[in-house]
Amino acid sequence: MATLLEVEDLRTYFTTDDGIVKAVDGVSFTLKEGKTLGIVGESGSGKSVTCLTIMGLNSKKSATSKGRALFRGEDLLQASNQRLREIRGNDIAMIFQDPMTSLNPVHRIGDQIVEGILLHRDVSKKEARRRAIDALKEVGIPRADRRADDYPHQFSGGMRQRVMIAMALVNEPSLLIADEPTTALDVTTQAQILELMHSLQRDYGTAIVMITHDLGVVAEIADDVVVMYAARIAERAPVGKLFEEPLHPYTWGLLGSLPRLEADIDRLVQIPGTPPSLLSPPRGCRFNPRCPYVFDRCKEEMPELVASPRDSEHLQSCFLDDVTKQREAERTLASFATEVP
Amino acid sequence: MDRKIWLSVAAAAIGASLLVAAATAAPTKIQAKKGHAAKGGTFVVEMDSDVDYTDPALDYLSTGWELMYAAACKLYNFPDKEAPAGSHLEPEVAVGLPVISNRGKTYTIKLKSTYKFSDGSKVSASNFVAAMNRLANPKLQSPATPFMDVIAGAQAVVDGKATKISGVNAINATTLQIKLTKPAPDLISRLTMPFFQAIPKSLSGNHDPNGVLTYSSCGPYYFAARTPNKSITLKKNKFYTGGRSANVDTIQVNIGNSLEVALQNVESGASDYAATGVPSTAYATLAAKYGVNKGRLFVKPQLGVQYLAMNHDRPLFKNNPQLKKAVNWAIDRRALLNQSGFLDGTRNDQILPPGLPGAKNVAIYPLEVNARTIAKAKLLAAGHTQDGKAVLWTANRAASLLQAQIYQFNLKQIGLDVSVQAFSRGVQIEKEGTRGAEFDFTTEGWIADYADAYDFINILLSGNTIHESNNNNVAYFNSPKYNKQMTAASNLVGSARQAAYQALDVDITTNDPAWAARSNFNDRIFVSARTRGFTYNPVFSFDYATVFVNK
Amino acid sequence: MFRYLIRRLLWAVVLFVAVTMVTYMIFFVIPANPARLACGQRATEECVRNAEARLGLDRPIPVQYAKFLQRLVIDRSLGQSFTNRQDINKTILDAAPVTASLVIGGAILWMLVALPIGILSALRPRSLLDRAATVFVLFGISLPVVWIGLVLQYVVGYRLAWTPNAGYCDFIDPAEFATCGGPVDWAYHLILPWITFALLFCAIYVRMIRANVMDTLGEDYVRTARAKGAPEPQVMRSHVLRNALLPVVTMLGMDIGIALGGAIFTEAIFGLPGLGRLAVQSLNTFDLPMIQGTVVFATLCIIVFNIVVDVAYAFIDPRIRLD
Repeated sequence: MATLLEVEDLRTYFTTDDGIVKAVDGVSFTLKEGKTLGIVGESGSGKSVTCLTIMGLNSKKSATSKGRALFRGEDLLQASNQRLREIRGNDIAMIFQDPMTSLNPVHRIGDQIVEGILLHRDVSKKEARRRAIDALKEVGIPRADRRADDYPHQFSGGMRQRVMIAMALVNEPSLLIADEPTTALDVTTQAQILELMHSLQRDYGTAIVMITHDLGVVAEIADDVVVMYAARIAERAPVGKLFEEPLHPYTWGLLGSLPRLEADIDRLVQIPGTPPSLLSPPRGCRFNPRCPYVFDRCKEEMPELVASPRDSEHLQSCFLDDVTKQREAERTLASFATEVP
Repeated sequence: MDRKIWLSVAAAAIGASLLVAAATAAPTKIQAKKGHAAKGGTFVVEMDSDVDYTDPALDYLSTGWELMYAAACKLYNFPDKEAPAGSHLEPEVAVGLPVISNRGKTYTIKLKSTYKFSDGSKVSASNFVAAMNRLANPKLQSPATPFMDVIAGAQAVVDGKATKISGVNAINATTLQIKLTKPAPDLISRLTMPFFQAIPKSLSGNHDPNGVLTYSSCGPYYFAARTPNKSITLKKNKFYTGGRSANVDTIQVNIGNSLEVALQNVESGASDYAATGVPSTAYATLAAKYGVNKGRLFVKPQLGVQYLAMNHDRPLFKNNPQLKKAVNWAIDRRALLNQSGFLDGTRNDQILPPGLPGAKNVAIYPLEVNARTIAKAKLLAAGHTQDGKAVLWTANRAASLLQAQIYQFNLKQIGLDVSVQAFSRGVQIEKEGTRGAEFDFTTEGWIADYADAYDFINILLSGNTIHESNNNNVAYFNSPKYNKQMTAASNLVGSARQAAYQALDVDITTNDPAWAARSNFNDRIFVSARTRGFTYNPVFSFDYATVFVNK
Repeated sequence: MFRYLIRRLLWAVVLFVAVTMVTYMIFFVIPANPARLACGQRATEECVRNAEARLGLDRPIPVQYAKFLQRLVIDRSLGQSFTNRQDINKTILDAAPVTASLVIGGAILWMLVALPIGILSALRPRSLLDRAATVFVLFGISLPVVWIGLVLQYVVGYRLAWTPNAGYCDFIDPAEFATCGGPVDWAYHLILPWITFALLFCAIYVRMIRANVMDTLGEDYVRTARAKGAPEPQVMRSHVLRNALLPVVTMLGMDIGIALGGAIFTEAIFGLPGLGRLAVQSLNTFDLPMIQGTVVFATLCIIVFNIVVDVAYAFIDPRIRLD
């Protein structure tokens, strides 16, 4: 299957009063047509900025980006504003974390979808409205023809996210970037939304970049996973491999902090410490201040993302020797397994 | 023009002090062009606030009377002359002085038949009768009724028991008869007030309590238009045949501009006369620039007095002439006057202002303090200051507060510890006019209603007039001896009257001063470069009838 | 909507009674006697007594207040002035157009200036324009209206004589013998008052509009609009401004409502015969009915504009409903 999106050594720096914030600092990944890529990381790890950079939605004044983001071979970082506008909402659509604030409160939702259609399709308003109502039906909004005339505040959170998805998919984009689309929703609704996205992906063959801090979501939906830490990629692998044999101490930490229904709250493992400031990240491996396995080399040298010796598709950036990694991965998974029957 | 002080409760003073610059940096290019002072043209006047009324029965504010002076024709009037001639009344519509009979209780006045109203109708005796009937009409509630108290039958109309004053009658078109309940030698003086002008037939039946805005009058001008709070327009009375001059065609009064704007407009020539004055801080600059009485800035004495009243109801001043004299010796009249701006007045220590018939300048108290006068004051006060404490009331305006501090300092030197209480002017008037009010000193001023000493001595100092509230005698001065002399003086006429009041003025001031008089008012008049030839009447101030505008 | 209006009207009545009652109480705490003032310098007992009867001051204060309410509700009359016996309804209706000219013209001016400056400085934070706007705001907010008015009057109106330094001309139907009148004179005389009056508001509104637009630019739905591929002008028009200006509409309505009660400083400086000057004058002469009249009118303006703002808001913001 053809490669849809190829990101190479993407770097996005923000100029602020305090200095330069390196929000994305050398990120690479690829996504094939119709597939799903999960990007996992804590808040501030650069996962959202990565996607906004691809969409060209960072502030022009404060952000500078380097590297390449090839969408069907076309470098989006070099594309003109005009070209980016043609792509946005048409070839690449995006949905956001908070459905409560992502819809304009003063416009009817039908009109907001119609706006997206008319921007890219040369159709009459009437036709656009028909398509908008169809899209709303598709995402499971009951009585869509009437509710199209309602305002966002008249919908629940889950319904709004459905509206967002309808708006994103109405032009049948080939790539959907979903920035934590379920974070703000309750668990039941989360599952429904994920299911909806999944089924739509099946029907339309849309590729998805799913940004999340929730490994559970990734496990459910993703084909490939990128784990980001402090603006860099810690580990990148097909989803099965990541969960079979995680190779980065940060991934172990994430797995340890995965909430499980059966587990008591006090048995949740937290990663000690806080993510580093991206204004002045630590020397060497950026995870070293929080890493229980740290040794001298980690504090001196920045680890590159390299393939695991046993699997060329599984990339990681840790100086630990392979034996230790295997042992620790097994231990993490063992504790995981004993707790999840 | 400071004649308004009585009611000028710091109106429109907003930001006044902020624009001293207006005076210091005014354009200098505007110089009087040579030209001929011809009749005609429009004389533009600035007033910061409106006159209260333009109805002859209701208008009782000095700015209004200034206009009324140009509009009214009266039986007797003050001539269009400067002081002192301007304060000596003359017959206007009347022919000569009245024939007085019935032991001073019947006045028969002959009238000229040449006067006409601005509507063309003739002025006859019945027009004066109509005026007085209208004044007494209870619907109108005219402030003139106190001046009619001696006219027979006036009270019955005021009380609503009659519609016509029985004592005022037109014997024929040119003969007016006024009967009194008791002799009133100042009756003719009272008749000079604009209240008593002839009114046209159209006005005689109008008892609308709101008053009229315009009416046909019989003086050189008449009120042609008025929009309250905006403007007043006076036009020349085409039918006027009296002896007074009427030079400009129109007198246009613009109301509502601040004193700063009045200054600017008169400087630039956009207006001709700042009738309510310019910022007090500007006078010194104007005097330096234009000189005084040399064409632009005129300083004219007014018939008014400013004084520090001493409350005789209080133990401090009851039967304590020593201390009252000491106060008169102690106060620094120069310093007090300096606080109210350049050329605001003339120092004086007597009750009657110079220029008033009967006033005579006698050196009694110092107009300038020095070590000797202070020593004298201390000597007089020694042993007479009771507990050494006193309360002084004043208005909460800037100059009054500064003056209160000077009083405080002066009186401290004679052993009086003065605490100052400041009120808004209206409140001060109300409080000090109520008998038993707890003050020892209050700062006051008085402007002549008409040029007669009665209006000062009897009104302000007679113990016979003291009542529970609304007192003018705020010194609560009540000396049986002087009360009798005042009543006697008020019954005299001519030079005997003047001599009696002169003696009273000197006697009271020297021996039993009820006040410490400090100064007489000046009117400070600022006019445009094109203004020519006006006279200043000491009673009615600016004489609009005499002014020219240069072409 | 209907229930809302009923509730607002009831509330307005309560507010109205409270305001007028407080005005009455404050007035009678001041011991000056308007009847004495009405009788002039040589006031006699009798004249003062008569004047008290005429003015109704001889009755107990609650009775006077009840009379005031009765007259207002039944005759729809605010009575007569103590000082010049003019009909207060007429006096206020004469003064209101002056204040309205000043306030509405001023509001148009400040919005015309504040909108572009506020929006552009929000779009280009830290640019030269934004910094200049910040300085302007600082000046506008710090400089007292009185000072600005007097300086403009002196420099522009007097020294340079580019505009009149004071005065007002009727827009239509000038009085007999009036020296000026008509729309051109009207506007010409109001230039400086408009600037004076608008400056402070202009500064406040620049700051408010800038802050609102910047806030809105950071809103998620603006990002959504951009993610749809909407061009920047459309994003601004349809998504940013519409939302950012909602609170501005409220503020504008309230500010105009309050200012219609009288722009005291501007009116005093430029000799505009409006409600502010009327209020100051009537305070100085203890003219209770006139004070009460200006207070009643100001209260009405505020109440009416509040309702207008609420109703307008319900129309432009679908989240608000009047019930």
